[in-house]
Amino acid sequence: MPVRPLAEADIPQVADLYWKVLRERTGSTPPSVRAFIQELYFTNPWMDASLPSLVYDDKGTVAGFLGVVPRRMTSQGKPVRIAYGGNFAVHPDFRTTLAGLHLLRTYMGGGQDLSQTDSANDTSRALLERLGFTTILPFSVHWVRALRPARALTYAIARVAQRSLTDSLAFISKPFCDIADKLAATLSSSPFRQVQSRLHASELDVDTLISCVSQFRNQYNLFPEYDAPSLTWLFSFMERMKGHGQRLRKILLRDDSGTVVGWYVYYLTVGGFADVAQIGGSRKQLGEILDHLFRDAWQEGAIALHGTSDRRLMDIYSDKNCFFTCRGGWTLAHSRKPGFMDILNSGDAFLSRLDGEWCLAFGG
Amino acid sequence: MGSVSNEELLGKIRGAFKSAFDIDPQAININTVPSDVSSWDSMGHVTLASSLEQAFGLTFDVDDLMAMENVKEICRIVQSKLGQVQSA
Repeated sequence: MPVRPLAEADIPQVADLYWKVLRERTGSTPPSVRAFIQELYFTNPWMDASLPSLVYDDKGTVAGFLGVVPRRMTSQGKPVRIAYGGNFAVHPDFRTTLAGLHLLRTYMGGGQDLSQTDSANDTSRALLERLGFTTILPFSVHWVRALRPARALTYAIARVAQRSLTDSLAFISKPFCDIADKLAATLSSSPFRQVQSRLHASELDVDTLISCVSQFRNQYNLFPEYDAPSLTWLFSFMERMKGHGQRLRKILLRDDSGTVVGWYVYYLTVGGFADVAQIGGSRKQLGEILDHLFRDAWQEGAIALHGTSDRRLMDIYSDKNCFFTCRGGWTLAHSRKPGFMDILNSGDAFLSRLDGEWCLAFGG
Repeated sequence: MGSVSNEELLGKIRGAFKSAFDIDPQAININTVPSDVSSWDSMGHVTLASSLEQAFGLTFDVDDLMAMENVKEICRIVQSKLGQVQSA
């Protein structure tokens, strides 16, 4: 079969596939895309030769690509090997080779305990489900919280309407939106009122995050194994690739006594939706953590926040005037080993967007 | 081949192709391969498998799906499945 592991010599062709097929761009592929592919698939700290990225090689032409990034997790005291699949593309001239099916089948037959993706679109979801993947609903529900509701509404309309119409709408509505959003943030009766937090914020460093996660993750049956080199690499990668925003904010929260109560990591987009990668802390203090996050993102200029939900905590997100949607990327998983799917389907896993392929995106 | 003749089998398979790809069923013959049908890509293959399941009242597993790489193989797999159903 023409499916084989990705080799460094394939990078130019894979970068072209990524740029032209996945990103739907024309013209020559920028060197930064090649650098992204090289770094992500040949220098990531979780590399495992037995879980390689795959190409479909049609007589020397890379006709298809499936990126695989292994991640390490723990379940019931035992290590779990997860292979995250992403950046899945087949060259249009080779689609009738069924390269996509062959790539997915080879990937699913690898040595991992769990095959998973956290950003599937509707088409990929249909394909993966037919091959035996299951949509993991607890990790496919996303929350959205407006921070500047009038501008967030205009932004949402802009995404579904024509460009010329929305440019005019944005221009005409800006003064109204500014006033409405100011009122929304300050009126005591407003559900979007920004509250002053009593928590104290500082920059979240890698060692503290590892300590925090190890303290809070034990409430779950499946959780990621972090270490300083891999987290350092991940944050550096996210900051440079800007996959989902302009800037990465990593905030640690303490109470008046100096005790750590929680943390959050998000991509800031000024004037746009900010994407939350991870929120952690105890259930008891999640409301305050969210208040702090909302105010931070609002002060930094975001118009709304978006993240993936933790099923156990949805009531608190709801209390904080978040609404929920499944439109934001599907999480799907497949495992030949019993138990893992039950854990995922019950939402009994500490899985965030730091733990899959979402955080490994290229924003250029 | 059970109670379905070769002609009937190909006829039903052609119907599944029409349903999956909205193409002239007469364009499909025993030698048809994916490159003969422009929309027969991976996603199309999955749609075709669903149409075949409906047409024959069968269920295909992932191995069947992967083996159905041309019309000849589809015929073989459907015949084999129908045989299994009959003998059960």
